[in-house]
Amino acid sequence: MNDMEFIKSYDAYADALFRHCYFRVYDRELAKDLVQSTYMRVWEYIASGKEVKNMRAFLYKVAHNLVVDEFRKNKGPTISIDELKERGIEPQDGIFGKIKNAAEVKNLLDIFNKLEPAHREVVVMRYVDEFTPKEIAAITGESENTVSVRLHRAVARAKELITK
Amino acid sequence: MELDNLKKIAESQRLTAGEKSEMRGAIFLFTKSNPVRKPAGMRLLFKGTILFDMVNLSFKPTMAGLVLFLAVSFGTGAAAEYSLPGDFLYPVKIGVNEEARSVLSFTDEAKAEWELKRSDRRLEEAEKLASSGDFSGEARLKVEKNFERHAEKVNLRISKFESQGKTEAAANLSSNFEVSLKAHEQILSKLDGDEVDKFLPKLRQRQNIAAGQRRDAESKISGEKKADAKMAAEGKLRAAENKLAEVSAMQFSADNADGANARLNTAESILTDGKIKMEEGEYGKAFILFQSALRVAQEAKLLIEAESTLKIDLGMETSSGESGGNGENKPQDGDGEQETEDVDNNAEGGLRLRLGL
Repeated sequence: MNDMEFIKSYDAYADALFRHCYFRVYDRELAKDLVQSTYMRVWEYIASGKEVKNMRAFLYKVAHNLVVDEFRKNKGPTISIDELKERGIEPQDGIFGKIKNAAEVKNLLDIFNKLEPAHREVVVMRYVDEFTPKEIAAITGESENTVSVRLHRAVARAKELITK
Repeated sequence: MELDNLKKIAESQRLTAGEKSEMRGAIFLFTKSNPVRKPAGMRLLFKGTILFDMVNLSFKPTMAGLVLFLAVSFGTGAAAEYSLPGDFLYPVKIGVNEEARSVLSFTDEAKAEWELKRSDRRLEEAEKLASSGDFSGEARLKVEKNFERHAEKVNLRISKFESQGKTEAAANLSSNFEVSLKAHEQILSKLDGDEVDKFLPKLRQRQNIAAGQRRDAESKISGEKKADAKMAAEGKLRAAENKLAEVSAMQFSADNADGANARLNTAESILTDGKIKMEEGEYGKAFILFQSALRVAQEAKLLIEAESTLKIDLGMETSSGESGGNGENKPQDGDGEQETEDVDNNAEGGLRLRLGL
């Protein structure tokens, strides 16, 4: 892969990767840093002469590892909706402006926020990034069975939160 | 709300056009600054002008993007990356390329890491010049001035993290800085020259400051609440394990398998001590040991890299100067290996390592 092809992969996946990182760390600036670091790490890998077979999966794998490292460094995200607002993430306007149903967005943030990181991780990968459990397993380095079980529990927990 | 709607809702979260194009510029520059590995002689090759295939690039020139575009166009930016103090393009390297990267780091942590990297780059430049006998008084002054500037910024960042209560970030940064300075001090010490001798005290001075800052941060972590210290120690354990894996892989691929084993063994032994402390619930001590293991591994990495790029024999001592409690170096397990010539015993009976380059 040459640098131009690499830049094309940026154009193709940057938004999705950003979304992935954002919903996992809830910090816009940090999510941007994570995306940029992901691309830099992947390029370093390519520049060292190694081959990447599935670019999308590889990008997510690197991003996932960086997010996990970030959690270990900073003890994971637990932010209240009020804090989100303080950070300029106001569900009714700005970035969520296109969504008519503001309550739904609030719910989404609230539910994500209440899920523990491991659950949030699989829900984001399954429902936002639309990976199969098998693909999630490849990204996180766990068995497909573990992922399926966790996903099942996470969904149950999320539904519980929705109906609350 | 059904979970299936998540994607639709989540899709409203995206980078702004400005953010996306700024980041694109930064990544593009990064690919140009870190070209796919090519043989030596790159610096000379890139002294000319190379037209890159810019056609496919659809920059939306924000200010930073514009600067990048100008810098990278016609290969100037990439060519400058190979320049050394005294070269025509050197000012572009430090004044344009590196400044652009600074602007494009978003968080304080990323900015701090980049400043550290810049200090690293100055030291590498000094090493390259010294190894080819080109480290003149003028070049030394240039490197020294910029090195001091970056080092000062790193020291300030560490203090700032401390004062903001970001103790872990302070510990990470100071530890990384310390080991970088330590490795470069060892490399430069092996390179002869009056100018090197004049430069080394500055380097040692910064190393001492970083070591002091690192110890301060570590003692604060030891004094943290148990749950916090545990979390910090767990994170550091993972980081140290990753680094060890990285360095092991590196040796293997560089056919240096025997070379830095002693250092890796030391790191592993310190890591084991740390794990014991973990189990005993001494999380602060475990954190300190994991950081120490990480430094030993990182030092090995930097030295191996320097041997390869500078084509010098550093004669790596087995002792890294890190102490890991009851950690003893495990004996070299090189019997029957073909690379035994890379390891020989010195007069004191200790192992001296050559990394076969």
